[in-house]
Amino acid sequence: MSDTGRTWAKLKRYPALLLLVLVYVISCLVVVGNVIRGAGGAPGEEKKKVLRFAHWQLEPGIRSAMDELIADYQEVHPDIEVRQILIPEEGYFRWVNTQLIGRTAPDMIECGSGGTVGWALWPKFYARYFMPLDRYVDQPNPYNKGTEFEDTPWRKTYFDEMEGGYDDSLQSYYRVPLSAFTVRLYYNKDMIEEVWGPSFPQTYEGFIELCEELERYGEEQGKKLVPIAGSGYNFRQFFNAFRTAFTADYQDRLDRDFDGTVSRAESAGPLYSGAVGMTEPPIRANFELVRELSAYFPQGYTSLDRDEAVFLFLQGHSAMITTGSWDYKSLGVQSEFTIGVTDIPLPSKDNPRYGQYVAGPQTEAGLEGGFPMGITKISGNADLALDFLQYAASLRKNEELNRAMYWLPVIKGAEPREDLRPFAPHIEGYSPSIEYANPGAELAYDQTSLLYLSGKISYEEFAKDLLAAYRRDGPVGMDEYFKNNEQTLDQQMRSAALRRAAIAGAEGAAPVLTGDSETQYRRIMEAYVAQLGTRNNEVRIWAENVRLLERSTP
Amino acid sequence: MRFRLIGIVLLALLGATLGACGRGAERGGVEDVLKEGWRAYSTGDFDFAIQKFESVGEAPGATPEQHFSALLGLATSYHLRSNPDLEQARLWYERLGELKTGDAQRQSLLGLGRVDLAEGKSGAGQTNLVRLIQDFPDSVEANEAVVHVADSLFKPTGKDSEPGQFSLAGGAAVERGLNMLEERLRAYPHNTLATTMHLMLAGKYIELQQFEKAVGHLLAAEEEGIAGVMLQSVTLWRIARIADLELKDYDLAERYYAKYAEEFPRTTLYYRATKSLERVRALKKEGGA
Repeated sequence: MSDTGRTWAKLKRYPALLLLVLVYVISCLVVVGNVIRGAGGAPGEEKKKVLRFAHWQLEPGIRSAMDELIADYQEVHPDIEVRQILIPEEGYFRWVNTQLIGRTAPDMIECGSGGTVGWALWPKFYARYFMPLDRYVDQPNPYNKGTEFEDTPWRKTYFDEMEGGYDDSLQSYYRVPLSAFTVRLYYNKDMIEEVWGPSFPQTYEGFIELCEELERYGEEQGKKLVPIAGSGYNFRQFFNAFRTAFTADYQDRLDRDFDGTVSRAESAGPLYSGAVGMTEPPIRANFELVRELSAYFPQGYTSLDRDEAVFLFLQGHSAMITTGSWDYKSLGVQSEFTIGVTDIPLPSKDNPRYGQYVAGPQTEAGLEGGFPMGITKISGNADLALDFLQYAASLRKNEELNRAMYWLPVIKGAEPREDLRPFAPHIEGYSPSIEYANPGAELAYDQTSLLYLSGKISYEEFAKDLLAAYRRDGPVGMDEYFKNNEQTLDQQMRSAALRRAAIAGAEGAAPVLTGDSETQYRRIMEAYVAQLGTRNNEVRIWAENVRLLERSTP
Repeated sequence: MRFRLIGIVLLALLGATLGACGRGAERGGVEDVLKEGWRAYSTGDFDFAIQKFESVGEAPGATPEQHFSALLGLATSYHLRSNPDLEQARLWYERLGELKTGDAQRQSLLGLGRVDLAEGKSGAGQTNLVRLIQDFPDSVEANEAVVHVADSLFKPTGKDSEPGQFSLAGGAAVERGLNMLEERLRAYPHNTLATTMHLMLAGKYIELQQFEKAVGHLLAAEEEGIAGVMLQSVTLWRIARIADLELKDYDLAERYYAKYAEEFPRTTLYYRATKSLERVRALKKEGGA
């Protein structure tokens, strides 16, 4: 027997040891292989660097418009490949959450979905998983070279100075907005022209007459025609337009700290004590008008969702619908009629019932950029992701991209499509000054107001039930509200402490920050004391109203 | 012979593996560990940050500056994490104070004062912070200490047993807080947090309906320079609105409505500012006629 044979025979006596050695050798090879690969880059990287970005914009034309942008970018950067990941809106927030926690997120992510839960969680996501952009927003966008913005800080090239990318609670820029959106009333132009004539009514009075005409027209045609395709989703768009018109004049009465807005507590305290009553004429007019209008919505509209309302409109069962400019192209593609776009009409000053309470339309001057993309910290190509977003947010490319998507551009001087003119933001107007859903009484408000709007209870019953809910749920709700606001203060202190550590020369603190530590420290401390002032003012108002109620209650 | 060969191969593989694993560790000197710690702090990964900062204490080659950073990191992480451990924070702030450098002393006193306040020990907290202000009057930390002392004197307190019930700060406490801020601004009118202090004073005077003083501090804040754009716009609006509605100083109101409209045409208050400007001008005309 040869030496090899003898060795093998000996080894065969120890199968467990053999297996152990085999596993060990394989493990060593895997580790060494990984290290070699790690040093050389991921597979395929030697050829092209791949950038991935996720969004939920599945409307027709968005993907192809993004593909065009990508093709143009890849022409300039043949060594980079950009891929879109499209996730339906319903599951988007869950998907993002999983990807971020699992550290498998793509390089760029559209931020901001998820409703109330998302609203609370996105700042936490930004802090933990996204790259702050402060360092870059004050530098010119290199892709604006040769334009009027060649030497302008990137932030200043935005119509909103990039407010849509700024997170107030973290005092940093985290998002690169690419488009802007406004909400309008869409109508079936062919049908309205047949029923009403060529010009759409400009006042609420005319609008109601039109609704009546449409119902009559439906009857004549032998079909059920609902004038407005309302749903639980777009009902709020109507309601908010009128809430602004009827409550804007409350600002001087309720804005006690003169900061130009009526905060939830500034509104909630007087509603709780009755210092502002639900039976005051402008407030009553607000609800009565909406109830009047909701008679022209489908029956049970609050339980209809957005898609069902769109379906009613597209099928010609409704003549009008409110939605955002994001739907302009998709409605145009899917409808077999011409679509008109206009503002939600308000009562004229001459309206005997409502005119005297109407301040004016809702302003859109504070509009911020949307379709915001953030760069994840785990991206191995963060600098390239930033470069791609700068390309998309450059003057020329942002115009081209948004013209292709039928959306509004966000860069100053970028021209939208001509047919999007009706969506241009209205500068003139006001913002609402009363929030009826007091902290703690949100659910009660939703339920009671729906009972009133559906005609099941009278206005007096509605006002009484709502006041009872304010009194019952208000104290606990306000406690929660103040506690939640304390979290913003904590977050600000956390950020300030890091900047202070950097200023004090704590090693390792400064490299973590983007931008100048002292300027950021000052900015955070200013925002912190502003927030302290808001808290003190809000607690004072609440406490005063609690005392007022106690004094007035026998 | 064969066994020896297998042994050599296995040893070589072991060496290669350890070498490969070792590369990661080599990268992480104390400097990198501190950077990782502060990065984790910045992203809210406090457990990881604490782990990193703690490891610096055991590192043999760490310099005194690195120890300072690690101790400050530990104290700050325990103090400001979402579920604070104030006992640990106090312990590490005290350890920080044992370092003899000025930076360490100041950060320690500031931290200890704030931990006291967070524990509800207002008197002890204020004493610590006042000591910091007296011992290190020119420092950034002293400026911040003034803000925290004033806040502790202004702060309303909730009643745990009765939801929605609050006690507002008493007149004497508020007076002390106002004096403290005013004195600091008198002694150090352009300190790092001068704007912050003016804004804090203005907020309190508005609450107390002492509008002339409020506007005075808003004007001073504006002159000193406000770092945040949003706060700049709010400050201009406040000056104009208070001048218009409370002080009836229509010249000042006109100037600041005009300034607001010019500098902030893309805010929700722009239209109100232009309408108010028209009204104030009409009032002035009426008054002059």
